[in-house]
Amino acid sequence: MTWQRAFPYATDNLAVVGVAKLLNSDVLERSDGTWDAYSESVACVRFALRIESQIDRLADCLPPGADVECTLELVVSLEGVHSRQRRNLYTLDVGSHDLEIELDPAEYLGRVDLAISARLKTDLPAQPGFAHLRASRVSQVSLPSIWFSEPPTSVGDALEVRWENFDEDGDLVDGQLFAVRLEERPVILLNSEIPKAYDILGSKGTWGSAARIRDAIYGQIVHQAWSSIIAHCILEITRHDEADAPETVLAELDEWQAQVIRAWASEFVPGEPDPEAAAVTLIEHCRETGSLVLLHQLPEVIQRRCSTIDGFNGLIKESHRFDGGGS
Amino acid sequence: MTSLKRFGSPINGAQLRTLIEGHAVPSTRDLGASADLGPLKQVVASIAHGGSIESSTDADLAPHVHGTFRGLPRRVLLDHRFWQWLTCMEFREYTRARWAPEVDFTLDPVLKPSQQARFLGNAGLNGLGRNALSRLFWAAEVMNDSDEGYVLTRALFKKQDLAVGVVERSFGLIPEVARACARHLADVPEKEHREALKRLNLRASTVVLEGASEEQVRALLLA
Repeated sequence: MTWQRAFPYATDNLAVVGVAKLLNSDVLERSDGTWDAYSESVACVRFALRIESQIDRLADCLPPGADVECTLELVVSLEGVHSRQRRNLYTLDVGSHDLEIELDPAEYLGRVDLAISARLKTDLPAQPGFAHLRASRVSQVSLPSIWFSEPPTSVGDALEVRWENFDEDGDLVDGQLFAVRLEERPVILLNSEIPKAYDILGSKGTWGSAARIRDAIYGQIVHQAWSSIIAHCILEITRHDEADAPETVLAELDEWQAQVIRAWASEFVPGEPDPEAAAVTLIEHCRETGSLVLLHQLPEVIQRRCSTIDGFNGLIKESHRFDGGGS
Repeated sequence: MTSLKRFGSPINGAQLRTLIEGHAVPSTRDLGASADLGPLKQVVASIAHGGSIESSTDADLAPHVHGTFRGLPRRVLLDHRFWQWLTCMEFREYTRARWAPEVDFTLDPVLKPSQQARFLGNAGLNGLGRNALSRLFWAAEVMNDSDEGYVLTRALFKKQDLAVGVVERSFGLIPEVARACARHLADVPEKEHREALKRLNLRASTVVLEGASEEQVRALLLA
């Protein structure tokens, strides 16, 4: 047996067109184009699916002389990791189709992705530049994803902020402006008993002294909060066995801890755009150089990513306005 | 019959330790369903020896776990707060004996993160594959072989490495793929089955596995 290159081969994701149209009014379209099947009580998600195949474009994905209709088939597939499901809904001949699809919300959780693929029906003689293994995908179009439960907010990108009366909570120190709690997910607690704190930090304006003070104070809070949170996650990595693969460590961290590591890893590993690869490298660095080296980088990394200098610059502008030194 | 519950919120490692130390029990929600946990607890008692449970018992226990919970609504079975409640409350001693046999909860209940994951898990693909009980249930569920005496489920758990390699990969969600892996890889040496799974994972990036027959998956595994 000799080795045969399986990929790259000719593909064309415009060769199949799929248009999905919702048939129930209680499923909402979200701003990112996904569908919301959790906000309302939905008995069944129903949508119409129109599929068109571009025969000429599909032919360009096959070796010369191969007949498109005999060689390819269309598959409508569903994948939901949190629902623990990956399956095909329909297998169809190449061509045009109008389908109606129903999904029972009792069967799903989290996000479900639907896609249409054109794939080889059988093995073909190997020819350089063309797919030859049975079921090889030559075209794929994604349909709108459906959320069957509320999408999680990534902790790595944003932090939850809550107002609390510190005087009434024995675990919080009276008179302090904020606290960071690492519970199920990290949260910044702001003290509602500090005079003017709510008025300023809760203000919505984009200019004026309240907005400038708000942005500067938030810069200070965010810096301290991320320092605590990232340090916590780095130290959590060091608690794992050295023998565990980085992927295993990521899988065993709390979900929010893994989100933080993935979201911030590329800041510690410049030049690695893939969050997963950066997270693996970060864990390896942590083991090779020790956690202290990473902790020493925190001030620089957080200032760079959060642009905390903007708050300071805003205050300077504001002071110039009153001093008559600027606009 | 036991009234089944879930934790109000997912618990983390610190809350698990507090729970084990007996200081606080997280709030729970009634699921409105019940199950007879007695037979499963009897099986667990019969496989425990000297405070520890061998990994080889997974093959026999998985069918019992599946048989006990298979009638529950799917959304309950997908909820890791339910599995956390089971491993932390009803089957705490099983989880300790199977995954942390050297730990004595009455003396020093300190668990390594990898051991905590067996009590906790999470909602993701890896998470339900880590929780001590949900991993057994979902492996048996995807094998869909209760009518065949769970022969494929038992085969999968003959090798821990094979079970992890299938259950914690996305292609392991496809019943035909998982069944083919159990049927054709359970008896090959570890090095070979690892290479076969890597090969399948690589091919899954260009091949549409959904809808493939077991025979087609076998060809991809062993080619």
